[in-house]
Amino acid sequence: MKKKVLYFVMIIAVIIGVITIKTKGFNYSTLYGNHERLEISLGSNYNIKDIKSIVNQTVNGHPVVRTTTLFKTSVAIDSKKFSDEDVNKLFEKLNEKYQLDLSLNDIKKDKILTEMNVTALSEMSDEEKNNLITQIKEKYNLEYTAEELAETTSKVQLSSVAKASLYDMLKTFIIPLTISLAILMAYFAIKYHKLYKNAWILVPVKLAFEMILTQSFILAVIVIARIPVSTYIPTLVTVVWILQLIIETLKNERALTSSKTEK
Amino acid sequence: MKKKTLTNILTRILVILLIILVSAIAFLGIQKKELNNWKNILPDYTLSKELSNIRTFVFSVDTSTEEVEDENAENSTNATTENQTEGEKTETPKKQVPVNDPSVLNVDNYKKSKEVISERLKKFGITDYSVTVNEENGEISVDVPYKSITDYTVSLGINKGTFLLIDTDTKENLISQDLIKSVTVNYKQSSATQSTQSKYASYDIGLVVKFKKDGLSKLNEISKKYIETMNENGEATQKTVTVQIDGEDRYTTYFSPEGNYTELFIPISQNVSTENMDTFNDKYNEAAVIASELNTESMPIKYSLTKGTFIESYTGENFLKCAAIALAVVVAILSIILIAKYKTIGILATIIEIGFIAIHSLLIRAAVVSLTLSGLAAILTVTIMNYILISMLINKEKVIEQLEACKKFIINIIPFIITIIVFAFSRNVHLQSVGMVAIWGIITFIYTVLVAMLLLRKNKKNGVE
Repeated sequence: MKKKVLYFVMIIAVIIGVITIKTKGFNYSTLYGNHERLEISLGSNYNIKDIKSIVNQTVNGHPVVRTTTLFKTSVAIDSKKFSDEDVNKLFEKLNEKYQLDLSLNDIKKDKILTEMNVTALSEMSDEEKNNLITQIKEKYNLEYTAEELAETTSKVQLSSVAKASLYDMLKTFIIPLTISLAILMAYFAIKYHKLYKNAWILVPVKLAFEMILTQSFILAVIVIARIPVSTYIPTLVTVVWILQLIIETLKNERALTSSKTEK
Repeated sequence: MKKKTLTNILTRILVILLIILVSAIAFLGIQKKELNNWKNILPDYTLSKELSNIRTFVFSVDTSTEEVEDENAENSTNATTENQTEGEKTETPKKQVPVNDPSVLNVDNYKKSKEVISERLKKFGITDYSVTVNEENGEISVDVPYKSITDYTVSLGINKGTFLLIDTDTKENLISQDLIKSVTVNYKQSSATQSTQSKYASYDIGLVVKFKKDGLSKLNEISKKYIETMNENGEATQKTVTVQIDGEDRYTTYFSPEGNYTELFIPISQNVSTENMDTFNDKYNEAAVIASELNTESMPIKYSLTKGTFIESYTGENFLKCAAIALAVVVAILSIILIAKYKTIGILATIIEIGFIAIHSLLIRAAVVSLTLSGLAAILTVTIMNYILISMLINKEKVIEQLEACKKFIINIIPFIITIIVFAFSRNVHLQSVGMVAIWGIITFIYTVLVAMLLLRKNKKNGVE
């Protein structure tokens, strides 16, 4: 009876989960969802712990700080969205600590030039450059010098990162899990067919039902509870699959031993 | 009798010392002096991109233009080429067109490009990847682990992957990509090796192209036409075909009229010596890249690499240390339980458990098993399973009783074994990691059983023999 209630609760959770996926989708963590990445070149004289502390004080949206480049001369800060205010605060603190001259203008320059269809800045006359600077000031309220606009290397770069698809993450699990389940169903049917009447069909069907239901229930809980989808999902799926399999085997072995003892 | 007891004691001491030695090697490594530093000569763990540095490549839609013949223009003063035929000078008008036609730049093609890149990576043998696409501008981001094999990711992303067999002279299209069934990489001993006295063999590394039924009949039809013939003056002339890959002429050849062709060998790198195997492997991989491209659909959009960088793993650099500490804590708890329950024999059981972890870790490294988070969980799982096995083998009086316990254990883990074998053969990096770690774990169980037979049997009189 308890088990039936449990199944009922799990099935309801799966149905609610499916509805939630259709309406709201999964809640992706910063690194797995659509987000922005701010890369800052800092050289080698910095402490990643200090950077993390500064970022946590200044940037909203669960930022993740990691080192980049082979020699770790840059840091990448991933956040859902970088507001101008957050970036200004961040740069202010970094400039103060590491004597840098990072500016919001550096991030916006490329985007502005693309929006204004400026392709060959070096071929522009001084007058054209001055006009461009005036236009940028009027339109974006940002001040640049001709040298700043011409500068091709930047110590900061902002880029957008597309979200990882959970379907992509899980689709390669389907075939191996199905194959292993099919073999296990056959094994369970042969091994435990004497447990009770029609056990040869009921035991494997029950195994498949429980394994699939548990996996679906876990995903449903993740989506309903809005637990951020992250790198742990494949591990969770695999570990739960194996643990449940071991439990089911032990349960059936115990039942088989006791049925043999009774006989 | 005394002599037998002494031999037994010595054997046990020797086994314990061996386990301690293997454990020391596994946990501390074998250090060798290299210049001014000591270096561990044991192979390192192979880590997936979850646990090691990641290479991130960003591919953007190619916005450049290319020069093509303008068939509509009558006279053009712009870029022209000069084609001279029999002294007559003709000019072909040229025009600049975008590499990617604006009509192909849509969400469907962006998504398709992402799928094609994913498929190519998989076919090339990079299973640990993540590919995302920005549906607004088509930008594709590829994350792969920092390994030498991932050097080829760029080629897999930027090449369109088109194949054509054309008439060398008329440029007539003879066989196109849709007639190809499969492409594999192979190497044949090059003719240069046979003629030279080098002690290292040289090979032509290339693609073996197999065709569909239509393609095969077309190939045999071509093979009768594109052959070597003699002209009136007795000079040999060849009518040749050219293989174009990604618009580039890669190989020109003619056929033997008697030949019955079932496949076509296209040399990509000729006369590659085996003297330097790194170069040989590089050339082989270059051919494998092309094979992966031709075994998947062509990219609907031409991409260019805009960024390639290294980035720290998702989990951070301290994660592995934390995982090792967590495993050590689990082993410590299991050891305390064993010692509290079985006293002296519990200490021996603890030594066996530590020896198991050491041998398992050495095997994982030697077999180059890629470790993912799931793989780490599998290490923990097999460690706990080994503890259960030890608990089943401990305090048995006879070997036969230990074998009975062992049989019971194996029966209980048959479904687990079936699952991990399937996982080990899968193309999913997480399942593969779990499968391989667990398979090596099960092989290491043999060590546990053998050593337990020597060390963990209970003496009728003393408790411990």
